[in-house]
Amino acid sequence: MLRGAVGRQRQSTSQTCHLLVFSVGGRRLAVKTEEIGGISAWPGSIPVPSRTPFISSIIRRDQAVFPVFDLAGMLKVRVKGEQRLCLMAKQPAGAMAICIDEEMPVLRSLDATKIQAYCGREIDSLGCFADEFEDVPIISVARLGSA
Amino acid sequence: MSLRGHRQGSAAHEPTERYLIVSVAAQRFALSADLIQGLLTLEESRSVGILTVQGQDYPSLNLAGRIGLAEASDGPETRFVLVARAGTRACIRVEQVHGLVEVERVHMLPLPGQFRSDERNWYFGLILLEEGVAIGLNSAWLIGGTMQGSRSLPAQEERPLQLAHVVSEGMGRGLAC
Repeated sequence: MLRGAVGRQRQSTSQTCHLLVFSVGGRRLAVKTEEIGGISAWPGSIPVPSRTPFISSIIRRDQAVFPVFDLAGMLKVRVKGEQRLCLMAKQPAGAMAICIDEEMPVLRSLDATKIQAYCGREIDSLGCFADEFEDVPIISVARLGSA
Repeated sequence: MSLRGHRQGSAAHEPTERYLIVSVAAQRFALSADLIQGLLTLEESRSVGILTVQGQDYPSLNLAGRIGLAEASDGPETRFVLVARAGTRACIRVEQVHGLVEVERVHMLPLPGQFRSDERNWYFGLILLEEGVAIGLNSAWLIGGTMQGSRSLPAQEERPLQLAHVVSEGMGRGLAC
Protein backbone atom coordinates (compact mmCIF):
# COMPACT_ATOMS: atom_id res chain seq x y z
CA MET A 1 0.00 0.00 0.00
CA LEU A 2 2.67 2.47 1.00
CA ARG A 3 4.69 1.81 -2.12
CA GLY A 4 1.63 2.32 -4.22
CA ALA A 5 0.82 5.58 -2.52
CA VAL A 6 4.32 6.92 -3.02
CA GLY A 7 4.22 5.93 -6.65
CA ARG A 8 0.96 7.76 -7.21
CA GLN A 9 2.32 10.83 -5.48
CA ARG A 10 5.37 10.88 -7.76
CA GLN A 11 3.17 10.56 -10.77
CA SER A 12 1.07 13.42 -9.56
CA THR A 13 4.12 15.61 -8.84
CA SER A 14 5.60 15.02 -12.28
CA GLN A 15 2.49 16.56 -13.82
CA THR A 16 2.99 19.85 -12.06
CA CYS A 17 4.48 22.53 -14.23
CA HIS A 18 6.50 25.26 -12.49
CA LEU A 19 6.21 28.53 -14.32
CA LEU A 20 7.45 32.07 -13.97
CA VAL A 21 4.87 34.59 -15.07
CA PHE A 22 6.21 37.96 -16.20
CA SER A 23 5.17 40.78 -18.46
CA VAL A 24 6.63 42.60 -21.44
CA GLY A 25 4.92 45.78 -22.53
CA GLY A 26 1.98 44.75 -20.38
CA ARG A 27 1.68 41.39 -22.14
CA ARG A 28 1.73 38.55 -19.66
CA LEU A 29 3.84 35.56 -20.56
CA ALA A 30 5.01 32.47 -18.76
CA VAL A 31 8.14 30.39 -19.00
CA LYS A 32 9.18 27.15 -17.36
CA THR A 33 11.37 27.90 -14.37
CA GLU A 34 13.96 25.36 -15.52
CA GLU A 35 14.68 27.61 -18.49
CA ILE A 36 15.44 30.64 -16.34
CA GLY A 37 18.90 31.47 -15.02
CA GLY A 38 17.85 34.39 -12.84
CA ILE A 39 16.25 37.80 -12.65
CA SER A 40 17.99 41.05 -11.80
CA ALA A 41 17.86 44.76 -12.49
CA TRP A 42 18.27 45.67 -16.13
CA PRO A 43 21.86 46.89 -16.54
CA GLY A 44 21.35 48.69 -19.84
CA SER A 45 22.37 47.24 -23.14
CA ILE A 46 25.15 47.93 -25.61
CA PRO A 47 24.08 47.90 -29.27
CA VAL A 48 25.80 45.44 -31.59
CA PRO A 49 24.72 46.03 -35.20
CA SER A 50 23.46 42.74 -36.51
CA ARG A 51 21.22 41.06 -39.03
CA THR A 52 20.03 38.36 -36.67
CA PRO A 53 16.35 39.06 -36.01
CA PHE A 54 15.72 40.53 -32.54
CA ILE A 55 19.32 40.09 -31.40
CA SER A 56 21.21 43.34 -31.80
CA SER A 57 22.64 44.20 -28.41
CA ILE A 58 24.48 42.76 -25.45
CA ILE A 59 24.70 43.34 -21.75
CA ARG A 60 27.90 43.21 -19.76
CA ARG A 61 28.25 41.60 -16.37
CA ASP A 62 31.77 42.00 -14.99
CA GLN A 63 33.99 40.05 -17.36
CA ALA A 64 31.18 38.42 -19.31
CA VAL A 65 28.81 39.56 -22.01
CA PHE A 66 25.42 38.14 -22.91
CA PRO A 67 23.32 38.67 -26.02
CA VAL A 68 19.96 40.38 -25.60
CA PHE A 69 16.82 39.04 -27.21
CA ASP A 70 14.37 41.82 -28.03
CA LEU A 71 11.20 40.08 -26.93
CA ALA A 72 9.35 43.39 -26.78
CA GLY A 73 10.31 44.05 -30.38
CA MET A 74 9.07 40.65 -31.43
CA LEU A 75 5.74 41.30 -29.69
CA LYS A 76 5.65 44.85 -31.12
CA VAL A 77 5.33 46.41 -27.67
CA ARG A 78 7.55 48.60 -25.50
CA VAL A 79 8.95 47.45 -22.20
CA LYS A 80 7.19 49.28 -19.36
CA GLY A 81 8.63 50.98 -16.33
CA GLU A 82 11.73 52.83 -15.24
CA GLN A 83 13.12 49.95 -13.16
CA ARG A 84 13.12 47.30 -15.83
CA LEU A 85 14.20 43.78 -15.09
CA CYS A 86 16.59 41.41 -16.77
CA LEU A 87 15.46 37.85 -17.23
CA MET A 88 18.30 35.47 -18.02
CA ALA A 89 17.23 32.69 -20.33
CA LYS A 90 19.13 29.42 -20.56
CA GLN A 91 19.97 28.46 -24.12
CA PRO A 92 22.14 25.77 -25.67
CA ALA A 93 24.45 28.50 -27.02
CA GLY A 94 24.72 30.13 -23.59
CA ALA A 95 22.66 32.45 -21.44
CA MET A 96 20.68 35.20 -23.12
CA ALA A 97 19.18 38.32 -21.55
CA ILE A 98 15.63 39.56 -22.03
CA CYS A 99 14.43 42.97 -20.87
CA ILE A 100 11.05 42.69 -19.16
CA ASP A 101 8.64 45.08 -17.42
CA GLU A 102 9.40 46.31 -13.95
CA GLU A 103 6.40 44.40 -12.61
CA MET A 104 7.84 41.67 -10.42
CA PRO A 105 7.44 38.21 -11.97
CA VAL A 106 5.59 35.60 -9.95
CA LEU A 107 6.10 31.88 -9.60
CA ARG A 108 3.17 29.68 -10.36
CA SER A 109 2.69 25.95 -10.16
CA LEU A 110 0.21 24.58 -12.60
CA ASP A 111 -1.26 21.17 -13.23
CA ALA A 112 0.02 20.21 -16.66
CA THR A 113 -3.48 19.16 -17.66
CA LYS A 114 -4.52 22.82 -17.53
CA ILE A 115 -2.15 23.73 -20.32
CA GLN A 116 -4.04 24.23 -23.55
CA ALA A 117 -3.08 24.96 -27.10
CA TYR A 118 -2.41 28.65 -27.71
CA CYS A 119 -4.06 30.22 -30.72
CA GLY A 120 -1.96 33.37 -30.94
CA ARG A 121 0.53 33.47 -33.78
CA GLU A 122 2.68 36.38 -32.63
CA ILE A 123 4.86 34.11 -30.58
CA ASP A 124 5.98 30.49 -30.68
CA SER A 125 4.50 28.93 -27.57
CA LEU A 126 4.33 25.62 -25.77
CA GLY A 127 0.69 26.29 -24.99
CA CYS A 128 -1.14 28.54 -22.60
CA PHE A 129 -3.10 28.55 -19.39
CA ALA A 130 -6.10 30.61 -18.41
CA ASP A 131 -6.02 32.80 -15.35
CA GLU A 132 -8.64 35.23 -14.12
CA PHE A 133 -7.76 37.81 -16.77
CA GLU A 134 -6.62 36.14 -19.95
CA ASP A 135 -4.90 33.27 -21.66
CA VAL A 136 -1.22 33.43 -20.75
CA PRO A 137 1.07 31.92 -23.39
CA ILE A 138 3.89 29.72 -22.17
CA ILE A 139 6.97 30.45 -24.22
CA SER A 140 10.16 28.47 -24.58
CA VAL A 141 13.01 30.91 -24.03
CA ALA A 142 15.43 28.15 -24.96
CA ARG A 143 14.05 28.34 -28.49
CA LEU A 144 13.89 32.12 -28.81
CA GLY A 145 16.02 33.39 -31.64
CA SER A 146 16.63 29.95 -33.06
CA ALA A 147 13.86 30.01 -35.64
CA MET B 1 42.73 56.12 -22.92
CA SER B 2 45.16 57.96 -25.15
CA LEU B 3 46.80 57.57 -28.49
CA ARG B 4 50.02 56.63 -26.78
CA GLY B 5 48.37 53.40 -25.84
CA HIS B 6 46.61 52.18 -22.77
CA ARG B 7 46.92 48.70 -21.37
CA GLN B 8 43.59 47.03 -20.84
CA GLY B 9 44.17 44.61 -17.99
CA SER B 10 46.68 44.04 -15.24
CA ALA B 11 49.00 41.10 -15.81
CA ALA B 12 52.07 42.33 -17.70
CA HIS B 13 52.99 38.86 -19.01
CA GLU B 14 49.66 38.22 -20.70
CA PRO B 15 49.75 38.26 -24.52
CA THR B 16 48.21 41.44 -25.81
CA GLU B 17 46.94 42.89 -29.04
CA ARG B 18 46.61 46.56 -29.92
CA TYR B 19 43.45 48.20 -31.15
CA LEU B 20 42.37 51.68 -32.07
CA ILE B 21 39.03 52.39 -30.43
CA VAL B 22 36.72 54.59 -32.50
CA SER B 23 33.07 55.61 -32.47
CA VAL B 24 30.85 55.09 -35.48
CA ALA B 25 27.14 55.86 -35.20
CA ALA B 26 27.62 56.34 -31.46
CA GLN B 27 28.96 52.82 -31.04
CA ARG B 28 32.47 51.80 -30.16
CA PHE B 29 34.47 49.69 -32.51
CA ALA B 30 37.98 48.30 -32.32
CA LEU B 31 40.27 48.39 -35.34
CA SER B 32 43.40 46.27 -35.27
CA ALA B 33 46.39 48.57 -34.87
CA ASP B 34 48.11 46.61 -37.65
CA LEU B 35 45.73 48.24 -40.11
CA ILE B 36 46.24 51.81 -39.04
CA GLN B 37 48.24 54.04 -41.33
CA GLY B 38 47.22 57.41 -40.01
CA LEU B 39 44.55 59.81 -38.89
CA LEU B 40 43.29 62.96 -40.50
CA THR B 41 41.05 65.67 -39.19
CA LEU B 42 38.08 66.90 -41.16
CA GLU B 43 40.03 69.96 -42.23
CA GLU B 44 42.98 67.93 -43.37
CA SER B 45 40.80 65.55 -45.29
CA ARG B 46 39.15 68.44 -47.08
CA SER B 47 42.46 69.98 -47.92
CA VAL B 48 43.73 66.81 -49.48
CA GLY B 49 40.56 66.29 -51.53
CA ILE B 50 40.23 62.62 -52.38
CA LEU B 51 42.40 61.54 -49.50
CA THR B 52 45.65 60.99 -51.19
CA VAL B 53 48.30 60.79 -48.51
CA GLN B 54 51.96 60.57 -49.38
CA GLY B 55 51.02 59.70 -52.93
CA GLN B 56 48.67 56.89 -51.91
CA ASP B 57 44.94 56.93 -52.56
CA TYR B 58 42.65 55.92 -49.73
CA PRO B 59 39.15 55.16 -51.08
CA SER B 60 36.31 55.99 -48.73
CA LEU B 61 34.84 53.07 -46.80
CA ASN B 62 31.36 53.66 -45.40
CA LEU B 63 31.55 51.48 -42.29
CA ALA B 64 28.23 52.69 -40.88
CA GLY B 65 26.45 51.88 -44.11
CA ARG B 66 27.98 48.42 -44.39
CA ILE B 67 26.63 47.39 -41.02
CA GLY B 68 23.27 49.05 -41.43
CA LEU B 69 23.80 52.15 -39.33
CA ALA B 70 23.01 55.75 -40.16
CA GLU B 71 26.10 57.85 -40.52
CA ALA B 72 26.30 60.74 -38.08
CA SER B 73 26.97 64.26 -39.27
CA ASP B 74 30.41 65.81 -39.01
CA GLY B 75 31.51 67.13 -35.64
CA PRO B 76 34.62 68.56 -34.03
CA GLU B 77 35.90 65.07 -33.22
CA THR B 78 35.32 63.64 -36.68
CA ARG B 79 38.41 61.89 -37.99
CA PHE B 80 39.41 59.90 -41.02
CA VAL B 81 41.26 56.72 -40.19
CA LEU B 82 43.58 55.54 -42.92
CA VAL B 83 43.88 51.78 -43.03
CA ALA B 84 45.75 49.35 -45.24
CA ARG B 85 46.09 45.60 -45.44
CA ALA B 86 47.83 43.46 -48.04
CA GLY B 87 48.14 46.37 -50.43
CA THR B 88 44.54 47.49 -50.15
CA ARG B 89 43.83 50.86 -48.63
CA ALA B 90 40.78 52.60 -47.29
CA CYS B 91 39.72 55.65 -45.40
CA ILE B 92 37.07 55.29 -42.69
CA ARG B 93 35.21 58.28 -41.35
CA VAL B 94 34.62 58.01 -37.61
CA GLU B 95 32.90 60.30 -35.15
CA GLN B 96 35.64 60.08 -32.60
CA VAL B 97 38.94 58.38 -31.95
CA HIS B 98 39.11 57.29 -28.33
CA GLY B 99 42.65 56.03 -28.43
CA LEU B 100 44.87 53.04 -28.74
CA VAL B 101 44.47 50.22 -26.27
CA GLU B 102 46.57 47.19 -25.56
CA VAL B 103 44.17 44.37 -24.81
CA GLU B 104 44.98 41.12 -23.07
CA ARG B 105 43.52 38.08 -24.76
CA VAL B 106 41.44 37.34 -21.68
CA HIS B 107 39.55 40.56 -22.34
CA MET B 108 38.69 39.56 -25.88
CA LEU B 109 35.49 37.54 -26.05
CA PRO B 110 33.97 35.72 -29.00
CA LEU B 111 30.69 36.96 -30.38
CA PRO B 112 27.92 35.04 -28.56
CA GLY B 113 26.59 32.14 -30.61
CA GLN B 114 23.11 33.64 -30.75
CA PHE B 115 24.43 36.17 -33.27
CA ARG B 116 24.21 33.96 -36.31
CA SER B 117 23.90 36.13 -39.40
CA ASP B 118 26.23 38.35 -41.46
CA GLU B 119 27.63 39.94 -38.32
CA ARG B 120 29.67 36.81 -37.73
CA ASN B 121 31.77 37.94 -40.69
CA TRP B 122 31.81 41.56 -39.61
CA TYR B 123 33.23 41.04 -36.14
CA PHE B 124 35.91 38.88 -34.65
CA GLY B 125 34.51 39.37 -31.17
CA LEU B 126 34.01 41.81 -28.33
CA ILE B 127 36.62 43.65 -26.32
CA LEU B 128 36.04 44.42 -22.68
CA LEU B 129 37.14 47.96 -21.94
CA GLU B 130 37.41 49.50 -18.51
CA GLU B 131 34.04 51.02 -19.23
CA GLY B 132 31.85 49.32 -21.75
CA VAL B 133 32.59 47.08 -24.67
CA ALA B 134 34.10 47.69 -28.10
CA ILE B 135 33.05 45.60 -31.06
CA GLY B 136 36.08 44.09 -32.73
CA LEU B 137 35.98 44.59 -36.50
CA ASN B 138 37.22 41.75 -38.66
CA SER B 139 40.10 43.25 -40.65
CA ALA B 140 39.69 40.91 -43.63
CA TRP B 141 36.01 41.77 -43.99
CA LEU B 142 36.61 45.45 -43.40
CA ILE B 143 39.30 45.86 -46.03
CA GLY B 144 37.69 43.31 -48.32
CA GLY B 145 34.90 45.80 -48.90
CA THR B 146 37.30 48.20 -50.53
CA MET B 147 38.79 45.81 -53.05
CA GLN B 148 36.88 47.43 -55.86
CA GLY B 149 38.49 50.67 -56.84
CA SER B 150 41.65 50.03 -54.90
CA ARG B 151 44.98 49.24 -56.39
CA SER B 152 47.79 47.01 -55.38
CA LEU B 153 51.04 48.38 -54.13
CA PRO B 154 54.43 47.60 -55.55
CA ALA B 155 56.50 45.54 -53.15
CA GLN B 156 58.63 48.46 -51.97
CA GLU B 157 55.51 50.36 -50.95
CA GLU B 158 54.21 47.66 -48.63
CA ARG B 159 55.93 49.26 -45.67
CA PRO B 160 53.18 50.95 -43.69
CA LEU B 161 53.29 54.66 -43.25
CA GLN B 162 54.23 55.85 -39.83
CA LEU B 163 51.14 57.21 -38.16
CA ALA B 164 53.27 60.06 -36.88
CA HIS B 165 53.65 61.25 -40.45
CA VAL B 166 50.00 61.87 -40.93
CA VAL B 167 48.54 62.23 -37.49
CA SER B 168 47.00 65.63 -37.12
CA GLU B 169 48.11 68.33 -34.75
CA GLY B 170 44.63 68.19 -33.38
CA MET B 171 45.20 64.65 -32.16
CA GLY B 172 48.08 66.00 -30.18
CA ARG B 173 50.39 63.03 -30.03
CA GLY B 174 52.51 61.45 -32.68
CA LEU B 175 52.11 57.72 -32.61
CA ALA B 176 53.95 55.17 -34.64
CA CYS B 177 51.93 52.03 -35.04
